[in-house]
Amino acid sequence: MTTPVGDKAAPVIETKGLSRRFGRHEAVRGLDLAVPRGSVFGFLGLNGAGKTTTIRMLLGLLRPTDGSASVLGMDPANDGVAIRQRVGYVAERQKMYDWMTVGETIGFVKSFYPTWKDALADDLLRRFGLDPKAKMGSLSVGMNAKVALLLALAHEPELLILDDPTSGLDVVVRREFLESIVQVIHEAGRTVFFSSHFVHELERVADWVAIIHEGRLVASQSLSAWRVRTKRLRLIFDGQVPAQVSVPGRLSTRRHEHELVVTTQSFDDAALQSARATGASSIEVLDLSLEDIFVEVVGGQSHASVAVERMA
Amino acid sequence: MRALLWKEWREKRLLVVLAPVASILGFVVSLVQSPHYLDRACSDGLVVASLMWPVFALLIGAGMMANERDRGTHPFLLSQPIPRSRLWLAKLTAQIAVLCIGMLISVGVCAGMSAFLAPQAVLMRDSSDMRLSAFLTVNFFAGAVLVSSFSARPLITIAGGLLVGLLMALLEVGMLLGLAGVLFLTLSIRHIGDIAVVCTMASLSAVFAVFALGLSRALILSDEVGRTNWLTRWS
Repeated sequence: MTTPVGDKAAPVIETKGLSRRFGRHEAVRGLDLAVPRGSVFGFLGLNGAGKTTTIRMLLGLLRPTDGSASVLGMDPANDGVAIRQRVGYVAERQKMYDWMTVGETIGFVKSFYPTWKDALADDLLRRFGLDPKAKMGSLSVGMNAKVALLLALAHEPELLILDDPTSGLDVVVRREFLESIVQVIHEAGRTVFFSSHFVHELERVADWVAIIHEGRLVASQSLSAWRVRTKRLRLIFDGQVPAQVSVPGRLSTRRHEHELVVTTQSFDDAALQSARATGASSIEVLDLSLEDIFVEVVGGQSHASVAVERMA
Repeated sequence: MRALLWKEWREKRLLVVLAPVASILGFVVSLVQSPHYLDRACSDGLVVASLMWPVFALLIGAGMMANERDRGTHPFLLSQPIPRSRLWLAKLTAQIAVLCIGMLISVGVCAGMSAFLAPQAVLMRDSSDMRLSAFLTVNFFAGAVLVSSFSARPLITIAGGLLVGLLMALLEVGMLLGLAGVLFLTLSIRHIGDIAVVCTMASLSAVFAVFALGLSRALILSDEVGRTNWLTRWS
């Protein structure tokens, strides 16, 4: 696993062994994260992987049972209010007050942020096509999500935390909403922590991706590093495929009669040498999309955890 | 703080409008039964209105936090950069203000009707009903606020608030009787004055209410968004 240490500035978010248990269920287990300043950090995981619990701990809404976190140099367990004042947060399917109008909702939230910019809020209202007189209860899910994004952006936060913001939106609205996000991300150049289970979304916007599975961090590296280091090797043999094949960082192996397909997350010259040492007559190196990588990584983790449970 | 108070007022202001309805209803019912006694009808209106105070207290207190959880706005509110203590205080202040305004309006409506329809009427001939109502109002409100701090369903909160409020009231009455017994046994005091009883009950109610509200504050301060425990699961 690689982490973005050694960047010019200190990470905007840093966690060390962050854990949270709910009764017997361990939602987050020993999470070590470092989010580089100015990055669009994708936090990828299946539903129930521990993404929302992690975010709630980062915002000081939940206390960790173990480990520590630092957000903008502050401890969420003690400085939750100060952190939330400097962070823009869009929750999954954020429910606001139906009886308020869009304008009233903005006025209500505005009072909690000393850095609120009315001009920016007006600009976002116009760009998102929101009517300030419309009742929140009459808005579509997509428009509701846009109001949540406006509220998260209008106080010019240093860090934007998006927790599955497109969850529950249909394909068309999701794409439209993502366009809005992409627009504001590139304009401001701020740090964005984007949690999602939609791989395509993250692939489009993120430059750094961490994958979380069953509460554990699988890996965290730049999107380009994921693409360079995770490859599928197609080995063709003249005879039978050997019983034992050793390739570093192997995630999965599929055997056919004269063919072996190995996916590795540590692709480099050494891995290629190992593949050649198997005696294959030809080797094909295939690129993977982030979705393929995610399925391989999460699939590998699931198999590993099942194997460990069986052994226990 | 002002924004929070505005929100609470907007959500609860309908209950204030309902307050005079009880007064008018009591007046009308009394007048239907005895059409020629306007003064009695005015007085009955006030009694009915005062009997409604504990119900208002229960409804208002129960909605303090449970409504947020019921509507799903609880995470949105708690994720705002406001200290929980200020949030709790703003909500409590707004609920008390709405309750007091409602009570004042119900009394004001009776006084107004009396002034116009029966200027000779004595509104508070016997204030024992109003004293009992005020006593129950304090206990029901504190009980409902306490249950509302961890409950998610308004109906369960109302029922829970009623139970806690009644329990507190019974404990207070029990303590008053115990105190009277101690005074009789140690100082042979057989009769305690009306004012002394009222003051003692008011003090006991205040102590119990402060304890219940303090517990509610502690629950809100320790509330973790997304956490479920036996309390929230039960309620």
